Amino acid sequence: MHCTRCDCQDPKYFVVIRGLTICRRCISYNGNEGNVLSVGNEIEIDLPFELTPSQQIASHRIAAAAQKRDVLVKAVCGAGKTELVMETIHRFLTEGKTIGVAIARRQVVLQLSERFRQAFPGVQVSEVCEGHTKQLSGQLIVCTTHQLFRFPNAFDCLILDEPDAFPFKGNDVLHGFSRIACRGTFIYLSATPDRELLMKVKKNECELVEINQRPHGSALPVPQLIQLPKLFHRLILFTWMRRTRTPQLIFVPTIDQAERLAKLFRLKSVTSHSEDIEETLRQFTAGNLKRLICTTVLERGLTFAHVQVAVMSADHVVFDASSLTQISGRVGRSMDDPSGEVLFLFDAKTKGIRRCINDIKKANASA
Amino acid sequence: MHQRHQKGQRFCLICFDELSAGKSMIDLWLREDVICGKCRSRFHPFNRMADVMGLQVYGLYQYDEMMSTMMHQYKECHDETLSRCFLYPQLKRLRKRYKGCTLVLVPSAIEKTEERGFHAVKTIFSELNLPILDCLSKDSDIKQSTSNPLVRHTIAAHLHLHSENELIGKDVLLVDDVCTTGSTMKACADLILPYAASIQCLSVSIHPLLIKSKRFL
Repeated sequence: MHCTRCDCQDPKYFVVIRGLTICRRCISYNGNEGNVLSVGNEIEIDLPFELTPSQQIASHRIAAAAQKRDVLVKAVCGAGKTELVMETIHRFLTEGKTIGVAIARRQVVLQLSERFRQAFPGVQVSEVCEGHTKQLSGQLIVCTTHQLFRFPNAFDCLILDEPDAFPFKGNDVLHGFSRIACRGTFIYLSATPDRELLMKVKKNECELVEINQRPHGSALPVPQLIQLPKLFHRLILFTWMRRTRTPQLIFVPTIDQAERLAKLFRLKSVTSHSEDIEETLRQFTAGNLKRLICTTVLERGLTFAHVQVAVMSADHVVFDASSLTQISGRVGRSMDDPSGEVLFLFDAKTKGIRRCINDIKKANASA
Repeated sequence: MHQRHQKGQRFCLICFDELSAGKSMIDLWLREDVICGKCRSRFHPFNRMADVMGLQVYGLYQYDEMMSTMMHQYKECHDETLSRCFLYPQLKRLRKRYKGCTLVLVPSAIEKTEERGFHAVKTIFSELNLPILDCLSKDSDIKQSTSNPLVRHTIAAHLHLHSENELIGKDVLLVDDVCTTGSTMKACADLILPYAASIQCLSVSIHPLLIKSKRFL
Protein backbone atom coordinates (compact mmCIF):
# COMPACT_ATOMS: atom_id res chain seq x y z
CA MET A 1 0.00 0.00 0.00
CA HIS A 2 1.09 3.51 -0.54
CA CYS A 3 -0.43 6.97 -0.23
CA THR A 4 -1.21 8.72 -3.46
CA ARG A 5 -0.61 12.17 -2.01
CA CYS A 6 2.54 11.98 0.10
CA ASP A 7 3.92 8.68 -1.20
CA CYS A 8 3.95 7.29 2.31
CA GLN A 9 4.44 3.54 2.59
CA ASP A 10 4.69 3.01 6.35
CA PRO A 11 1.56 1.13 7.48
CA LYS A 12 1.55 2.95 10.81
CA TYR A 13 0.15 6.04 9.10
CA PHE A 14 -2.79 4.22 7.58
CA VAL A 15 -6.17 3.96 9.25
CA VAL A 16 -9.23 2.24 7.91
CA ILE A 17 -12.42 4.16 8.66
CA ARG A 18 -15.75 2.99 7.28
CA GLY A 19 -14.05 0.92 4.60
CA LEU A 20 -11.80 3.71 3.35
CA THR A 21 -8.09 3.65 3.91
CA ILE A 22 -6.76 7.03 4.93
CA CYS A 23 -3.22 8.27 5.23
CA ARG A 24 -2.89 10.30 8.42
CA ARG A 25 0.55 11.65 7.71
CA CYS A 26 -0.72 14.14 5.15
CA ILE A 27 -4.31 14.46 6.32
CA SER A 28 -3.89 18.11 7.31
CA TYR A 29 -3.03 18.99 3.70
CA ASN A 30 -6.61 18.30 2.73
CA GLY A 31 -7.30 21.99 2.23
CA ASN A 32 -10.90 23.01 1.92
CA GLU A 33 -11.87 20.09 -0.27
CA GLY A 34 -12.29 17.78 2.66
CA ASN A 35 -12.16 14.71 0.48
CA VAL A 36 -11.00 11.48 1.94
CA LEU A 37 -7.85 10.10 0.46
CA SER A 38 -7.90 6.63 -0.86
CA VAL A 39 -4.77 4.62 -0.76
CA GLY A 40 -3.47 2.28 -3.42
CA ASN A 41 -4.71 -1.21 -2.96
CA GLU A 42 -5.03 -4.57 -4.63
CA ILE A 43 -7.33 -4.12 -7.59
CA GLU A 44 -9.33 -6.86 -9.16
CA ILE A 45 -9.10 -7.33 -12.88
CA ASP A 46 -11.71 -9.23 -14.78
CA LEU A 47 -11.00 -9.53 -18.47
CA PRO A 48 -13.57 -11.14 -20.74
CA PHE A 49 -10.93 -12.16 -23.30
CA GLU A 50 -7.64 -13.97 -23.50
CA LEU A 51 -4.59 -12.52 -25.18
CA THR A 52 -2.75 -14.39 -27.88
CA PRO A 53 0.95 -15.04 -27.18
CA SER A 54 2.07 -12.18 -29.42
CA GLN A 55 -0.42 -9.85 -27.78
CA GLN A 56 0.76 -10.93 -24.37
CA ILE A 57 4.36 -10.08 -25.16
CA ALA A 58 3.31 -6.68 -26.45
CA SER A 59 1.14 -6.12 -23.40
CA HIS A 60 4.03 -6.81 -21.03
CA ARG A 61 6.32 -4.56 -23.02
CA ILE A 62 3.88 -1.67 -22.88
CA ALA A 63 3.30 -2.09 -19.16
CA ALA A 64 7.01 -2.14 -18.42
CA ALA A 65 7.93 0.76 -20.69
CA ALA A 66 5.07 3.04 -19.64
CA GLN A 67 6.55 3.30 -16.16
CA LYS A 68 9.56 5.12 -17.49
CA ARG A 69 8.91 6.70 -20.85
CA ASP A 70 6.39 7.43 -23.54
CA VAL A 71 5.17 4.51 -25.61
CA LEU A 72 3.81 4.41 -29.11
CA VAL A 73 1.66 1.37 -29.76
CA LYS A 74 1.43 0.88 -33.47
CA ALA A 75 -1.13 -1.79 -34.08
CA VAL A 76 -3.23 -2.56 -37.09
CA CYS A 77 -6.94 -1.88 -36.85
CA GLY A 78 -8.70 -4.56 -34.86
CA ALA A 79 -5.51 -5.78 -33.20
CA GLY A 80 -7.11 -4.99 -29.86
CA LYS A 81 -5.33 -1.86 -28.72
CA THR A 82 -7.69 -1.48 -25.79
CA GLU A 83 -6.99 -5.02 -24.63
CA LEU A 84 -3.27 -4.39 -24.88
CA VAL A 85 -3.29 -1.48 -22.44
CA MET A 86 -5.46 -3.23 -19.84
CA GLU A 87 -2.40 -4.62 -18.11
CA THR A 88 -0.77 -1.20 -18.00
CA ILE A 89 -3.92 0.38 -16.57
CA HIS A 90 -4.13 -2.36 -13.97
CA ARG A 91 -0.55 -1.82 -12.93
CA PHE A 92 -0.98 1.93 -12.55
CA LEU A 93 -4.21 1.53 -10.62
CA THR A 94 -2.60 -0.97 -8.27
CA GLU A 95 0.04 1.61 -7.46
CA GLY A 96 -2.76 4.01 -6.61
CA LYS A 97 -2.02 6.27 -9.54
CA THR A 98 -4.50 8.11 -11.68
CA ILE A 99 -4.77 7.18 -15.29
CA GLY A 100 -6.54 8.97 -18.11
CA VAL A 101 -7.78 7.75 -21.44
CA ALA A 102 -8.44 10.47 -24.01
CA ILE A 103 -10.42 9.63 -27.10
CA ALA A 104 -11.56 11.85 -29.93
CA ARG A 105 -15.09 10.56 -30.22
CA ARG A 106 -17.87 10.73 -27.70
CA GLN A 107 -19.47 7.42 -28.66
CA VAL A 108 -16.23 5.60 -28.05
CA VAL A 109 -15.86 7.24 -24.63
CA LEU A 110 -19.20 5.83 -23.52
CA GLN A 111 -18.53 2.41 -25.04
CA LEU A 112 -15.06 2.18 -23.55
CA SER A 113 -15.88 3.39 -20.05
CA GLU A 114 -18.49 0.67 -19.83
CA ARG A 115 -15.87 -1.90 -20.80
CA PHE A 116 -13.42 -0.57 -18.21
CA ARG A 117 -16.13 -0.71 -15.57
CA GLN A 118 -16.60 -4.39 -16.29
CA ALA A 119 -12.89 -5.10 -16.37
CA PHE A 120 -12.08 -3.30 -13.10
CA PRO A 121 -15.07 -3.89 -10.83
CA GLY A 122 -13.69 -2.13 -7.75
CA VAL A 123 -12.42 0.99 -9.48
CA GLN A 124 -14.19 4.28 -9.83
CA VAL A 125 -14.36 4.89 -13.57
CA SER A 126 -15.58 8.31 -14.68
CA GLU A 127 -16.54 9.15 -18.20
CA VAL A 128 -16.21 12.82 -19.06
CA CYS A 129 -17.64 14.06 -22.33
CA GLU A 130 -20.40 16.27 -23.57
CA GLY A 131 -23.36 15.65 -21.29
CA HIS A 132 -21.29 13.88 -18.65
CA THR A 133 -19.23 16.55 -16.96
CA LYS A 134 -20.43 16.40 -13.37
CA GLN A 135 -18.37 13.52 -12.07
CA LEU A 136 -14.78 14.68 -12.49
CA SER A 137 -12.95 12.60 -9.93
CA GLY A 138 -11.96 9.00 -10.24
CA GLN A 139 -8.95 6.75 -10.55
CA LEU A 140 -9.63 5.96 -14.16
CA ILE A 141 -10.91 8.80 -16.27
CA VAL A 142 -12.17 8.26 -19.79
CA CYS A 143 -12.73 11.54 -21.60
CA THR A 144 -12.85 13.17 -24.96
CA THR A 145 -9.75 15.09 -25.96
CA HIS A 146 -11.67 18.32 -25.63
CA GLN A 147 -12.33 17.70 -21.94
CA LEU A 148 -8.66 17.31 -21.04
CA PHE A 149 -8.50 20.94 -19.91
CA ARG A 150 -10.49 19.95 -16.83
CA PHE A 151 -7.62 17.86 -15.49
CA PRO A 152 -4.49 19.95 -15.10
CA ASN A 153 -1.60 17.86 -13.88
CA ALA A 154 -3.90 15.01 -13.01
CA PHE A 155 -2.62 11.91 -14.74
CA ASP A 156 0.35 9.70 -14.01
CA CYS A 157 -0.26 8.14 -17.35
CA LEU A 158 -2.33 9.45 -20.20
CA ILE A 159 -3.42 7.13 -22.97
CA LEU A 160 -4.11 9.05 -26.15
CA ASP A 161 -6.15 7.13 -28.64
CA GLU A 162 -5.32 7.98 -32.23
CA PRO A 163 -3.40 11.22 -31.82
CA ASP A 164 -2.94 11.29 -35.59
CA ALA A 165 -6.61 11.88 -36.27
CA PHE A 166 -9.03 14.76 -36.22
CA PRO A 167 -9.45 16.68 -33.92
CA PHE A 168 -6.11 16.08 -32.26
CA LYS A 169 -3.96 16.22 -35.34
CA GLY A 170 -2.35 19.60 -35.78
CA ASN A 171 -4.44 21.19 -33.04
CA ASP A 172 -2.05 23.09 -30.78
CA VAL A 173 -4.69 23.79 -28.15
CA LEU A 174 -5.47 20.11 -27.63
CA HIS A 175 -1.78 19.24 -27.68
CA GLY A 176 -1.29 21.83 -24.95
CA PHE A 177 -4.15 20.40 -22.87
CA SER A 178 -2.67 16.95 -23.04
CA ARG A 179 0.79 18.13 -22.00
CA ILE A 180 -0.66 20.04 -19.03
CA ALA A 181 -2.94 17.18 -18.02
CA CYS A 182 -0.24 14.54 -17.92
CA ARG A 183 2.50 14.65 -15.31
CA GLY A 184 3.77 11.18 -16.16
CA THR A 185 4.10 9.24 -19.35
CA PHE A 186 2.05 9.13 -22.52
CA ILE A 187 0.85 6.06 -24.34
CA TYR A 188 -0.11 6.75 -27.94
CA LEU A 189 -2.37 4.20 -29.57
CA SER A 190 -2.49 4.39 -33.30
CA ALA A 191 -2.83 2.31 -36.41
CA THR A 192 -1.42 5.05 -38.56
CA PRO A 193 1.08 7.16 -36.60
CA ASP A 194 1.93 10.46 -38.27
CA ARG A 195 5.38 11.78 -38.98
CA GLU A 196 5.63 13.66 -35.69
CA LEU A 197 5.19 10.50 -33.66
CA LEU A 198 7.55 8.48 -35.82
CA MET A 199 10.15 11.23 -35.40
CA LYS A 200 9.82 10.88 -31.65
CA VAL A 201 10.56 7.18 -31.96
CA LYS A 202 13.54 7.96 -34.16
CA LYS A 203 14.90 10.41 -31.61
CA ASN A 204 14.51 7.68 -29.01
CA GLU A 205 12.10 9.74 -26.91
CA CYS A 206 9.45 7.14 -27.27
CA GLU A 207 9.33 3.36 -27.26
CA LEU A 208 7.69 1.65 -30.20
CA VAL A 209 5.58 -1.46 -29.75
CA GLU A 210 4.38 -2.84 -33.04
CA ILE A 211 1.66 -5.39 -33.71
CA ASN A 212 0.89 -6.33 -37.27
CA GLN A 213 -1.45 -9.18 -36.64
CA ARG A 214 -5.03 -9.34 -35.59
CA PRO A 215 -5.83 -11.75 -32.73
CA HIS A 216 -7.52 -14.21 -35.09
CA GLY A 217 -4.34 -14.34 -37.13
CA SER A 218 -5.80 -13.76 -40.57
CA ALA A 219 -4.61 -10.90 -42.72
CA LEU A 220 -6.16 -7.48 -43.02
CA PRO A 221 -8.53 -7.25 -45.96
CA VAL A 222 -6.91 -5.40 -48.84
CA PRO A 223 -9.25 -2.87 -50.44
CA GLN A 224 -10.55 -3.50 -53.90
CA LEU A 225 -9.94 -0.48 -56.12
CA ILE A 226 -12.31 0.65 -58.83
CA GLN A 227 -11.24 3.65 -60.86
CA LEU A 228 -14.05 5.04 -63.01
CA PRO A 229 -15.48 8.40 -63.93
CA LYS A 230 -17.79 9.85 -61.27
CA LEU A 231 -20.77 9.15 -63.47
CA PHE A 232 -20.64 5.41 -62.84
CA HIS A 233 -19.99 5.48 -59.09
CA ARG A 234 -23.58 5.16 -58.02
CA LEU A 235 -24.24 2.34 -60.44
CA ILE A 236 -21.22 0.39 -59.23
CA LEU A 237 -22.22 1.04 -55.65
CA PHE A 238 -25.70 -0.23 -56.37
CA THR A 239 -24.45 -3.49 -57.87
CA TRP A 240 -21.94 -3.87 -55.02
CA MET A 241 -24.75 -3.44 -52.52
CA ARG A 242 -26.79 -6.14 -54.21
CA ARG A 243 -23.88 -8.53 -54.57
CA THR A 244 -22.17 -8.42 -51.15
CA ARG A 245 -23.59 -9.64 -47.91
CA THR A 246 -24.99 -7.32 -45.29
CA PRO A 247 -24.51 -5.39 -43.04
CA GLN A 248 -22.81 -2.76 -45.13
CA LEU A 249 -21.31 0.59 -44.29
CA ILE A 250 -20.99 3.15 -47.06
CA PHE A 251 -18.58 5.98 -46.38
CA VAL A 252 -19.00 9.29 -48.16
CA PRO A 253 -16.81 12.39 -47.82
CA THR A 254 -19.40 15.07 -47.11
CA ILE A 255 -22.62 15.43 -45.15
CA ASP A 256 -24.34 16.77 -48.24
CA GLN A 257 -23.45 13.67 -50.23
CA ALA A 258 -24.51 11.43 -47.38
CA GLU A 259 -27.94 12.99 -47.31
CA ARG A 260 -28.37 12.83 -51.06
CA LEU A 261 -27.26 9.23 -51.26
CA ALA A 262 -29.50 8.28 -48.34
CA LYS A 263 -32.44 9.82 -50.14
CA LEU A 264 -31.62 8.02 -53.37
CA PHE A 265 -31.25 4.55 -51.85
CA ARG A 266 -33.81 5.14 -49.07
CA LEU A 267 -31.25 4.39 -46.37
CA LYS A 268 -30.44 5.92 -43.02
CA SER A 269 -27.43 8.18 -42.76
CA VAL A 270 -25.15 8.96 -39.85
CA THR A 271 -23.36 12.29 -39.93
CA SER A 272 -22.35 14.77 -37.28
CA HIS A 273 -25.61 16.58 -38.06
CA SER A 274 -27.99 13.70 -37.61
CA GLU A 275 -29.84 13.73 -34.32
CA ASP A 276 -30.49 10.13 -33.37
CA ILE A 277 -27.00 8.73 -33.94
CA GLU A 278 -27.08 6.48 -30.90
CA GLU A 279 -30.46 5.00 -31.79
CA THR A 280 -29.45 4.40 -35.42
CA LEU A 281 -26.20 2.74 -34.39
CA ARG A 282 -28.02 0.55 -31.90
CA GLN A 283 -30.39 -0.61 -34.59
CA PHE A 284 -27.49 -1.19 -36.98
CA THR A 285 -25.63 -3.34 -34.44
CA ALA A 286 -28.82 -5.24 -33.65
CA GLY A 287 -29.25 -6.04 -37.33
CA ASN A 288 -32.46 -4.12 -37.92
CA LEU A 289 -30.72 -1.87 -40.41
CA LYS A 290 -28.87 -3.64 -43.20
CA ARG A 291 -27.13 -0.71 -44.81
CA LEU A 292 -25.92 2.56 -43.40
CA ILE A 293 -24.49 5.64 -45.05
CA CYS A 294 -22.02 7.60 -42.99
CA THR A 295 -19.31 10.22 -43.08
CA THR A 296 -15.98 9.87 -41.29
CA VAL A 297 -17.72 10.06 -37.88
CA LEU A 298 -17.77 6.27 -37.84
CA GLU A 299 -14.28 5.85 -39.19
CA ARG A 300 -12.58 5.08 -35.88
CA GLY A 301 -12.97 3.14 -32.70
CA LEU A 302 -16.27 1.42 -33.30
CA THR A 303 -16.71 -2.28 -33.87
CA PHE A 304 -19.53 -3.82 -35.89
CA ALA A 305 -19.47 -7.55 -36.45
CA HIS A 306 -19.48 -8.98 -40.00
CA VAL A 307 -19.54 -5.54 -41.63
CA GLN A 308 -18.59 -4.84 -45.30
CA VAL A 309 -17.36 -1.44 -46.32
CA ALA A 310 -17.52 0.75 -49.43
CA VAL A 311 -15.95 4.18 -49.81
CA MET A 312 -17.45 6.63 -52.30
CA SER A 313 -15.08 9.25 -53.77
CA ALA A 314 -12.05 7.81 -52.02
CA ASP A 315 -9.97 10.49 -53.74
CA HIS A 316 -11.67 13.27 -51.79
CA VAL A 317 -9.38 15.34 -49.53
CA VAL A 318 -11.00 14.17 -46.29
CA PHE A 319 -9.86 10.63 -46.99
CA ASP A 320 -6.14 10.69 -46.30
CA ALA A 321 -4.04 7.57 -45.87
CA SER A 322 -4.72 7.13 -42.16
CA SER A 323 -8.41 7.68 -42.60
CA LEU A 324 -8.62 5.09 -45.38
CA THR A 325 -6.58 2.60 -43.37
CA GLN A 326 -8.95 3.06 -40.47
CA ILE A 327 -11.98 2.58 -42.67
CA SER A 328 -10.63 -0.65 -44.10
CA GLY A 329 -9.90 -1.65 -40.53
CA ARG A 330 -13.61 -1.75 -39.71
CA VAL A 331 -13.85 -5.01 -41.64
CA GLY A 332 -13.27 -8.46 -40.19
CA ARG A 333 -12.86 -7.46 -36.57
CA SER A 334 -14.74 -10.32 -34.96
CA MET A 335 -13.00 -13.54 -34.05
CA ASP A 336 -15.44 -15.88 -35.80
CA ASP A 337 -15.61 -13.95 -39.06
CA PRO A 338 -12.23 -12.49 -39.98
CA SER A 339 -12.94 -12.01 -43.69
CA GLY A 340 -14.69 -9.13 -45.38
CA GLU A 341 -14.76 -6.84 -48.36
CA VAL A 342 -13.57 -3.28 -48.79
CA LEU A 343 -14.29 -1.27 -51.91
CA PHE A 344 -12.76 2.08 -52.87
CA LEU A 345 -14.51 4.03 -55.63
CA PHE A 346 -12.62 6.97 -57.12
CA ASP A 347 -11.84 8.66 -60.39
CA ALA A 348 -8.24 9.64 -59.72
CA LYS A 349 -5.71 7.76 -57.64
CA THR A 350 -4.34 9.92 -54.83
CA LYS A 351 -1.30 9.64 -52.59
CA GLY A 352 -3.60 8.68 -49.76
CA ILE A 353 -5.03 5.67 -51.54
CA ARG A 354 -1.60 4.52 -52.64
CA ARG A 355 -0.14 4.84 -49.15
CA CYS A 356 -3.10 3.10 -47.56
CA ILE A 357 -2.72 0.09 -49.86
CA ASN A 358 1.03 0.00 -49.27
CA ASP A 359 0.61 0.19 -45.49
CA ILE A 360 -1.89 -2.65 -45.41
CA LYS A 361 0.20 -4.85 -47.68
CA LYS A 362 3.33 -4.12 -45.63
CA ALA A 363 1.55 -4.99 -42.40
CA ASN A 364 0.21 -8.20 -43.90
CA ALA A 365 3.65 -9.16 -45.15
CA SER A 366 5.35 -8.60 -41.79
CA ALA A 367 2.63 -10.37 -39.80
CA MET B 1 -10.24 -2.79 11.68
CA HIS B 2 -10.46 0.58 13.34
CA GLN B 3 -10.75 -1.09 16.73
CA ARG B 4 -7.80 -3.32 16.09
CA HIS B 5 -5.74 -0.37 15.10
CA GLN B 6 -6.47 1.32 18.42
CA LYS B 7 -5.55 -1.66 20.53
CA GLY B 8 -2.23 -2.29 18.94
CA GLN B 9 -1.36 1.37 18.79
CA ARG B 10 2.17 2.03 19.99
CA PHE B 11 2.78 5.48 18.55
CA CYS B 12 1.51 8.99 19.11
CA LEU B 13 -1.63 9.95 17.18
CA ILE B 14 -0.26 13.41 16.44
CA CYS B 15 3.49 13.20 15.84
CA PHE B 16 3.72 9.41 15.19
CA ASP B 17 6.65 9.22 17.59
CA GLU B 18 7.03 6.60 20.32
CA LEU B 19 4.27 6.88 22.90
CA SER B 20 6.77 7.13 25.73
CA ALA B 21 8.54 10.16 24.28
CA GLY B 22 8.71 13.13 26.64
CA LYS B 23 6.74 11.49 29.43
CA SER B 24 7.51 11.85 33.11
CA MET B 25 8.14 8.70 35.14
CA ILE B 26 4.73 8.96 36.81
CA ASP B 27 2.94 9.40 33.51
CA LEU B 28 4.88 6.53 32.04
CA TRP B 29 3.81 4.07 34.70
CA LEU B 30 0.42 5.31 35.75
CA ARG B 31 -1.20 7.30 32.99
CA GLU B 32 -2.06 5.67 29.75
CA ASP B 33 -2.46 7.96 26.79
CA VAL B 34 -2.88 7.87 23.02
CA ILE B 35 -0.47 10.71 22.33
CA CYS B 36 3.11 11.15 23.46
CA GLY B 37 4.20 13.31 26.38
CA LYS B 38 5.59 16.01 24.12
CA CYS B 39 2.31 16.47 22.29
CA ARG B 40 0.32 16.28 25.51
CA SER B 41 2.41 19.06 27.02
CA ARG B 42 1.46 21.31 24.13
CA PHE B 43 -2.15 21.21 25.25
CA HIS B 44 -2.95 23.57 28.09
CA PRO B 45 -5.28 21.97 30.60
CA PHE B 46 -7.89 24.14 32.24
CA ASN B 47 -10.08 21.73 34.21
CA ARG B 48 -12.22 24.32 35.94
CA MET B 49 -15.60 25.92 35.76
CA ALA B 50 -15.89 29.00 33.59
CA ASP B 51 -18.69 31.49 33.87
CA VAL B 52 -20.24 31.82 30.43
CA MET B 53 -23.04 34.36 30.34
CA GLY B 54 -24.26 33.17 33.71
CA LEU B 55 -23.84 29.51 32.81
CA GLN B 56 -21.28 27.31 34.52
CA VAL B 57 -19.29 25.45 31.88
CA TYR B 58 -16.63 22.92 32.74
CA GLY B 59 -13.69 23.31 30.38
CA LEU B 60 -10.99 20.70 29.87
CA TYR B 61 -8.48 22.71 27.84
CA GLN B 62 -7.76 26.26 26.81
CA TYR B 63 -8.56 27.03 23.21
CA ASP B 64 -5.05 28.00 22.17
CA GLU B 65 -3.10 27.53 19.00
CA MET B 66 -2.43 23.84 19.52
CA MET B 67 -6.08 23.17 20.25
CA SER B 68 -7.24 25.11 17.21
CA THR B 69 -4.82 23.22 14.95
CA MET B 70 -5.99 19.89 16.29
CA MET B 71 -9.65 20.89 16.01
CA HIS B 72 -9.03 21.96 12.43
CA GLN B 73 -7.40 18.67 11.58
CA TYR B 74 -10.17 16.76 13.31
CA LYS B 75 -13.16 18.66 11.97
CA GLU B 76 -12.09 20.13 8.64
CA CYS B 77 -9.62 17.48 7.49
CA HIS B 78 -11.91 14.70 8.73
CA ASP B 79 -9.31 12.98 10.89
CA GLU B 80 -11.71 10.84 12.87
CA THR B 81 -8.97 8.96 14.68
CA LEU B 82 -7.91 12.14 16.44
CA SER B 83 -11.13 12.17 18.48
CA ARG B 84 -9.54 9.97 21.13
CA CYS B 85 -6.79 12.38 22.09
CA PHE B 86 -9.15 15.00 23.53
CA LEU B 87 -10.68 13.06 26.41
CA TYR B 88 -8.45 10.03 26.81
CA PRO B 89 -6.33 10.80 29.92
CA GLN B 90 -9.36 12.07 31.82
CA LEU B 91 -11.88 9.47 30.70
CA LYS B 92 -12.10 7.62 34.01
CA ARG B 93 -12.57 10.80 36.01
CA LEU B 94 -15.18 12.17 33.63
CA ARG B 95 -17.14 8.91 33.59
CA LYS B 96 -17.29 8.98 37.38
CA ARG B 97 -18.15 12.65 37.55
CA TYR B 98 -21.03 12.49 35.08
CA LYS B 99 -22.43 9.09 36.02
CA GLY B 100 -26.16 8.81 35.35
CA CYS B 101 -26.33 11.84 33.09
CA THR B 102 -27.83 11.92 29.61
CA LEU B 103 -25.65 13.44 26.92
CA VAL B 104 -27.15 16.19 24.80
CA LEU B 105 -24.98 17.33 21.93
CA VAL B 106 -24.67 20.91 20.81
CA PRO B 107 -25.80 20.53 17.20
CA SER B 108 -23.79 21.10 14.08
CA ALA B 109 -25.36 21.61 10.67
CA ILE B 110 -26.54 18.38 9.07
CA GLU B 111 -24.69 19.11 5.82
CA LYS B 112 -21.42 19.42 7.72
CA THR B 113 -21.94 16.11 9.45
CA GLU B 114 -22.79 14.42 6.19
CA GLU B 115 -19.74 15.87 4.49
CA ARG B 116 -17.52 14.61 7.31
CA GLY B 117 -19.16 11.23 7.55
CA PHE B 118 -19.16 11.44 11.34
CA HIS B 119 -20.65 13.67 14.01
CA ALA B 120 -17.72 15.64 15.40
CA VAL B 121 -19.00 16.18 18.95
CA LYS B 122 -20.71 12.81 19.22
CA THR B 123 -17.56 10.92 18.28
CA ILE B 124 -15.50 12.66 20.97
CA PHE B 125 -17.99 12.13 23.78
CA SER B 126 -19.21 8.67 22.83
CA GLU B 127 -16.30 7.30 24.86
CA LEU B 128 -18.00 8.45 28.04
CA ASN B 129 -20.46 5.57 27.49
CA LEU B 130 -23.44 7.71 28.43
CA PRO B 131 -26.84 7.51 26.72
CA ILE B 132 -26.94 10.10 23.93
CA LEU B 133 -30.03 12.14 23.19
CA ASP B 134 -29.71 14.04 19.93
CA CYS B 135 -32.66 16.35 20.44
CA LEU B 136 -31.24 19.63 19.18
CA SER B 137 -30.85 20.66 15.56
CA LYS B 138 -29.45 23.61 13.66
CA ASP B 139 -30.99 24.73 10.37
CA SER B 140 -28.24 26.15 8.29
CA ASP B 141 -24.52 26.18 8.33
CA ILE B 142 -23.80 29.61 9.70
CA LYS B 143 -20.10 30.22 9.87
CA GLN B 144 -19.63 31.35 13.40
CA SER B 145 -16.02 32.33 13.33
CA THR B 146 -16.60 34.72 10.44
CA SER B 147 -19.73 36.37 11.72
CA ASN B 148 -19.38 39.32 14.04
CA PRO B 149 -20.30 39.16 17.73
CA LEU B 150 -23.65 40.84 17.17
CA VAL B 151 -24.74 38.23 14.66
CA ARG B 152 -23.48 35.47 16.88
CA HIS B 153 -26.06 36.20 19.51
CA THR B 154 -28.82 35.57 17.02
CA ILE B 155 -27.81 31.91 16.83
CA ALA B 156 -30.68 31.05 19.13
CA ALA B 157 -33.09 31.65 16.25
CA HIS B 158 -31.49 28.83 14.25
CA LEU B 159 -31.61 26.21 17.00
CA HIS B 160 -34.55 23.92 17.46
CA LEU B 161 -35.54 21.44 20.11
CA HIS B 162 -37.49 18.33 19.25
CA SER B 163 -38.61 15.25 21.21
CA GLU B 164 -38.81 17.37 24.38
CA ASN B 165 -40.70 14.64 26.20
CA GLU B 166 -37.67 12.43 26.37
CA LEU B 167 -35.81 15.15 28.25
CA ILE B 168 -38.25 15.37 31.13
CA GLY B 169 -36.73 14.44 34.45
CA LYS B 170 -33.28 13.74 32.99
CA ASP B 171 -29.98 14.98 34.34
CA VAL B 172 -28.64 16.53 31.19
CA LEU B 173 -24.98 16.92 30.32
CA LEU B 174 -24.66 19.42 27.52
CA VAL B 175 -21.43 18.93 25.58
CA ASP B 176 -19.57 20.85 22.89
CA ASP B 177 -16.09 20.83 21.39
CA VAL B 178 -15.26 24.54 21.39
CA CYS B 179 -16.79 27.28 23.51
CA THR B 180 -15.71 30.67 22.15
CA THR B 181 -18.29 33.21 23.23
CA GLY B 182 -20.62 30.71 24.79
CA SER B 183 -23.68 31.99 22.96
CA THR B 184 -24.44 28.62 21.35
CA MET B 185 -24.01 26.80 24.64
CA LYS B 186 -26.23 29.36 26.37
CA ALA B 187 -28.92 29.17 23.70
CA CYS B 188 -28.98 25.37 23.90
CA ALA B 189 -29.18 25.45 27.68
CA ASP B 190 -32.08 27.90 27.51
CA LEU B 191 -33.96 25.56 25.19
CA ILE B 192 -33.44 22.53 27.42
CA LEU B 193 -33.90 24.21 30.80
CA PRO B 194 -37.72 24.06 30.99
CA TYR B 195 -37.74 20.27 30.54
CA ALA B 196 -34.63 18.80 32.18
CA ALA B 197 -34.22 18.10 35.85
CA SER B 198 -30.72 19.54 35.90
CA ILE B 199 -28.16 20.80 33.46
CA GLN B 200 -24.39 20.51 33.50
CA CYS B 201 -22.16 21.82 30.72
CA LEU B 202 -18.91 20.39 29.45
CA SER B 203 -16.71 21.72 26.72
CA VAL B 204 -13.45 20.30 25.43
CA SER B 205 -11.90 23.70 25.03
CA ILE B 206 -12.72 27.14 26.29
CA HIS B 207 -11.58 30.41 24.81
CA PRO B 208 -8.99 32.28 26.91
CA LEU B 209 -11.17 35.40 26.99
CA LEU B 210 -13.82 33.58 28.98
CA ILE B 211 -11.19 32.17 31.27
CA LYS B 212 -9.62 35.55 31.98
CA SER B 213 -12.91 37.17 32.81
CA LYS B 214 -13.45 34.50 35.42
CA ARG B 215 -9.98 34.78 36.85
CA PHE B 216 -9.93 38.53 37.32
CA LEU B 217 -13.44 39.11 38.55
